[in-house]
Amino acid sequence: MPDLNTPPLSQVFCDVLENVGFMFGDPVEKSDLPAEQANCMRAIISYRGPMSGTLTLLAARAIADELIENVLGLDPDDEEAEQAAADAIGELMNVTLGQLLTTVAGEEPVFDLSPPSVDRQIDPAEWAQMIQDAETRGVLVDDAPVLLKFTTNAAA
Amino acid sequence: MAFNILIVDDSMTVRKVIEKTLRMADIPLGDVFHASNGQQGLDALASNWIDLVFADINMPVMTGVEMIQKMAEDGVTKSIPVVVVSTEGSATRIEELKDHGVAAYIRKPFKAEQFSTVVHEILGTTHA
Repeated sequence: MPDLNTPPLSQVFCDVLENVGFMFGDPVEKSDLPAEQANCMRAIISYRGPMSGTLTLLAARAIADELIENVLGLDPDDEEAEQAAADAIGELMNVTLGQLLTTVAGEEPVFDLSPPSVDRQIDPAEWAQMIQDAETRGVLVDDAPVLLKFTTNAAA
Repeated sequence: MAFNILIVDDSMTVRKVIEKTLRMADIPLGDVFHASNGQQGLDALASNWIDLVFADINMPVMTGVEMIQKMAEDGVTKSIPVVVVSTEGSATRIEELKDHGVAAYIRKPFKAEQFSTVVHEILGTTHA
């Protein structure tokens, strides 16, 4: 199985972030990211088809705040901001996974994507664990860090 | 003439972006209804006059494909044009959707101009 994390994963995420959220990210080495990150969100989305797996994101909350401001015109202090932040991060993952699957598998296979699952606040230990995972990739959006991991199994 | 629109997507963000894009596209809009899955979409279709439906594919409870199939089985809803707006890039899936009578397919992320052109073509309205 080829390495599906590099270069497509980080670059696809940055391209989608720019198109969906008018935000600019840069793929970086994980050594450029903090070993610990407080105030962090997690989103997971799974897919099934000729291959199956998951896409996981851990991101500083600041990214969701900027996303809802750019896309929905919401201030982080707005009443609906909490729910909107989770929804917007979920949609960002949905679009990223759709683009990623086309990039790595071509335009013929059909994949079913699960609804994204978003946790608005995770234990900082989860960041510390995921950043050490060899398959995890890093992105910086301005100064806000993101971790991404794409897993795949050959048979669904 | 104002057009009533139904937007079916489990993401509130996408529903709002589609509605905002429609309003920016100079399309004469009547009521805009939101539904977060295919079943809610069918419920909205059963109780409102709808001129155009936008639907995602992957949604909980009932997918967009299932909703489109149900619409095709109903004498009233089968003639309502459906535009699928999805992350899916599979040519196979897009062909399947066309076989189901889908009027157009727009892949996310979409550009406002592309969206506007498609909608004006379907509704037969003037593209400013």
